[in-house]
Amino acid sequence: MSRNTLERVLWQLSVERAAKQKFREAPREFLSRFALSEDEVEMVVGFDVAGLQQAGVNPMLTMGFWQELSLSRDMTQYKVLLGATDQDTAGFSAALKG
Amino acid sequence: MGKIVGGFWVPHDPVMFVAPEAPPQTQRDIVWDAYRQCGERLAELDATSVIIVGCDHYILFGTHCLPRYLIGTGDVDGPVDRLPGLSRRVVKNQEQLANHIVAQGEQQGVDWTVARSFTMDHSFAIPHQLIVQVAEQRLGRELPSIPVYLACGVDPYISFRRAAELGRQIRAAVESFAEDERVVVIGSGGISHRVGTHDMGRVSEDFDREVLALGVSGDLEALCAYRDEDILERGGNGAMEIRNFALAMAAVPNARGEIIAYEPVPEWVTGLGFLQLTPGSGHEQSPVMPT
Repeated sequence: MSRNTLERVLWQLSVERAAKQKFREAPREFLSRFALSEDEVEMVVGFDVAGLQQAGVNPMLTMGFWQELSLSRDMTQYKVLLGATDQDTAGFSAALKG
Repeated sequence: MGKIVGGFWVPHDPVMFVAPEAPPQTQRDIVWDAYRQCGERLAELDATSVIIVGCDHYILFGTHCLPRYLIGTGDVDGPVDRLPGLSRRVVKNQEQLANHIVAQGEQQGVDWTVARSFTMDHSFAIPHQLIVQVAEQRLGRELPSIPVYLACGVDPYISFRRAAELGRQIRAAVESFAEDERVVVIGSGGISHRVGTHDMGRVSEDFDREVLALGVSGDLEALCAYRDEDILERGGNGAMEIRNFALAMAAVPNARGEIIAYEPVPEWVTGLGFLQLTPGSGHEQSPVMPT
C-alpha cells in the first residue's frame, strides 16, 4: 500500500476544486495519473474509509473526502464504516455535515 | 527590552460555528463567555502584540511539504477553511518581531520555516476573532498577531521537547527585541477530541482535567512527558494539539495557570478548556536553549 500516494490523492481532492470536479466526472480516469494499485483505486472509488485508514491515511483526509465527495456524506454512516459501536454513534453530534 | 506578559490555552473548535445550537444553552453560554473573558484579560495585560500557536489540519500543507514548525513573517490572511460566522480577513502581523524571532533563532540553532505570506486556518482565526478582536475593541487599537504553526495534526509530529524549546527561543527573542513590546502567547487547540475516527464525538474529561492541572501548576516537564500513543488513546488524535500548549507555557517565564472554564461538549466533539498563563516570580530558568 502506498500511504503517501493515497494521502496525496485525498489531499488534492480536499483542496483543489478542479481535482474534485474531475473525480466526480470520471473517478478512475482521474486516479489513473497516480501510481496506485488496482486495490487502492478500488478503495478510493468505493469510499472504503476503513481500508484507507488501515493503509495509514490520516483520518482528517478520509473524513474530508467522505464529506466532500461521497454520495451519502452522512457522518454516522461514515463512523459505522469505520467500525463504530452503538455507543460511539449514540451521542454523536447531529452538528456535523451530513 | 520586550517582555512576555502572559499566555492562554484556548480551543479552536470549528463545530461551534457549524452547529452553534447543538449543545445545551448553559454549556454554549459558558464557552462563548470564556472566549470573551480571554479577550478582556488580554486587553488588561495591555499587550502590544500576540503570537497565536496553531496547527494545520491537512489543509494548508500536503504530502509535498510538511513543516514541523513555521512562522508567518509577512502578510497574513484567512482562514482558508470557510466556516459560518468566521470572517475571512487580512490580519495585521508584527513583522519586525516575527523576523527578529527568525534571526535570533538562527543564532541558537532554530531554523524556522518561514512563510512570507500566509493564509492561516481556523486554528489561528478562531482565537483571533473571539479573543484578539475583543481585546482590540477594548483597547481601541490594533493588536498585531504573529502566526506560529506546529505539526500537531499530520505526522511527523513535532516533539514536545522541540515545542518547548521553541517557546523558550521565542521568549529569548522577545526579551532581546529592540522595542518595548508586550507579547502574549496563545496556545490554540485541544483538549480531547477525535477527528475523522470511529469514536469521533467521544470526550475524555479525565484526560482534559489532567492536562489543565498541569497548566495550573506550570508543570511543563510533565506536559512534555506525554507519549504520543498515550495521547492518542486517552485524548484522541486532536489532543496532539497540546503541543501548542507546551510552546505557550515555555514562552511564559515561570508560568502558572488559572482555569477560566472547562466544558466537555460531545455535541461539539471536544473537551473545551480555557486557561490563562501568568508569569511567576523567583529564579527563572535561562530562556536560552541548550546547545
